[in-house]
Amino acid sequence: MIRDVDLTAHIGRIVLQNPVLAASGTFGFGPEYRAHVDMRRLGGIAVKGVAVDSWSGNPPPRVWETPSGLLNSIGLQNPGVRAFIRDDLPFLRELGTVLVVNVIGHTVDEYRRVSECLARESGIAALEVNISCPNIKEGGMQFGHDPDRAFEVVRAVVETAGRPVWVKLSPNTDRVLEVGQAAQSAGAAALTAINTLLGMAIDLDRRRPALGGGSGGLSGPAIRPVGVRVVYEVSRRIPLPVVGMGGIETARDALEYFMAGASAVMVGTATFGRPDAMTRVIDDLPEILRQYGFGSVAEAVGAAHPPAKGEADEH
Amino acid sequence: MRLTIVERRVPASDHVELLLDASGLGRRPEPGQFLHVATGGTLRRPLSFSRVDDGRVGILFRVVGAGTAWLAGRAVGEDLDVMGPLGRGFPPPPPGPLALVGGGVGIPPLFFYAQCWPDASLAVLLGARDREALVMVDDFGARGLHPALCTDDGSFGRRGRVTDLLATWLSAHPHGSVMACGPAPMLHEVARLTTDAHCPAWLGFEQRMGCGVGACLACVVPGAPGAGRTWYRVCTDGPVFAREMLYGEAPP
Repeated sequence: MIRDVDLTAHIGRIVLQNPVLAASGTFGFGPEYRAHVDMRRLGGIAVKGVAVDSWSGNPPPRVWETPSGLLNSIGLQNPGVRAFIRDDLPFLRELGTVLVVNVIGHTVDEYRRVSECLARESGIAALEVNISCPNIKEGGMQFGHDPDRAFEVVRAVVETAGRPVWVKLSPNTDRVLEVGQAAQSAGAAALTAINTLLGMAIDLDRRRPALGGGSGGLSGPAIRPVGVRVVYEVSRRIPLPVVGMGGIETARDALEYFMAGASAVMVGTATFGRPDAMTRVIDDLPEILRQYGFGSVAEAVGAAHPPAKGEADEH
Repeated sequence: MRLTIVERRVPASDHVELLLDASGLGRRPEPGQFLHVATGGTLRRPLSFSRVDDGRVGILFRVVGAGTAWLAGRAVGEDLDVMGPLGRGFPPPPPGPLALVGGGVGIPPLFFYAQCWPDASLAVLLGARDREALVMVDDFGARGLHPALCTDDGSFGRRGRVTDLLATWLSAHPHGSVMACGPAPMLHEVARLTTDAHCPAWLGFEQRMGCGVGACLACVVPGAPGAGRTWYRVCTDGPVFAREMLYGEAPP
């Protein structure tokens, strides 16, 4: 193992031991993967979206494999913030890994109330405001496509959170930069990108949409170029750290996101196929970083961006 | 973990049984539990155990899509990337007569059950679409169990549904119990018949699955109304459920 490559990642004032986090929605509420993943090795864990009350989610089938990808329509099933605090938070706190709690709601007030409940709890590094889930009718993505509403909901969480607030962006809009800028104006500490792409598959046997919810969110390697593009644009235009995700399976994929401007990455769908996907990325990063001439993750962040005016002559 | 394929069988057209060297398996599987098998795509496929013998475990599946087609193309000597055994299996036989009721690819875990409980007094009721899909009949026969058989098209055994066979069996065995595995409509009917007959039943379900460890909440089946849980996860709460968990106390 190469030890002289610095894997430390900084997201604002949060320091991660390495830049690889579990993506929200793919890693449960904490304990589920404990027999299959060495969780203490992860840079952090973003748990599944938590609402003020329990949500029952969408009818099955909820997943459908697609070429190099996965469609899902879980519908943000969750036990509610109080049950999360009671049943799962003690385990996560004990683990000591950087914990990010994904926050969902139908209304601005619901987001605010989740944030208020979590504000009293220790062991949470940041909240991730989910304004980008494509699988619910109200809330979620509708906030993520409208800069004014995004501002409102992020503001409500920032006012109550008492800790850094990250905002998860939707790729299903041509206003992603405006939404990101609104999140920044509202006090967000970081942006995470991207959530899933809205898609659909048809079950030929049943002559119906394959997913019980009709449409779903596409993830996996199929969406990696979309994620890289959004991270590149957002990180160039908005002066906030960006956590990149979308189809990352290997250290090389992670490096692509770092060069595009991500300060850290999240791995999601890959974990379903290989529970050790995240730890393999972590293990392989030093060699890949060194191979491409970087002594640290930080050096690689934004390496693909064109030089700023005035720097051009130096290159 | 990786398990090596030591034998490949084709019990019927579109059906393959792979026997895997079980020495890498952490613990002995229970009937009804499954292996979560990587198949070259994004998701693994949950496949229940068909048998355990001579240090080998079997998985028997029907080729229905890209994942199972990939798996069917594997040869002896190749390794499979598997997680498991996962999930909750069938309970030990309750006192009294017991019927194993299998439909199509729901049959294999019931053969494994019969293997695990050689001294149980078992009736075996099997049904499938057609003769080809009626798998493992000879395996039951070799254990001295002679299944009652039916097919949807009458190409083998009686013409009709396996639940018709179950209705007859229940009327003759009012204190019987049932272990069933098969497609959801069949299990729904098993639940109705056994509730009416006041006989306990355990039902093994299949569902489109993601992680296999309870994290992604993809593979859910609805819980009984008013019983506290809207959904159960097939991967970790099941795949085998006591009937009451999903259907409550009243006939569905």
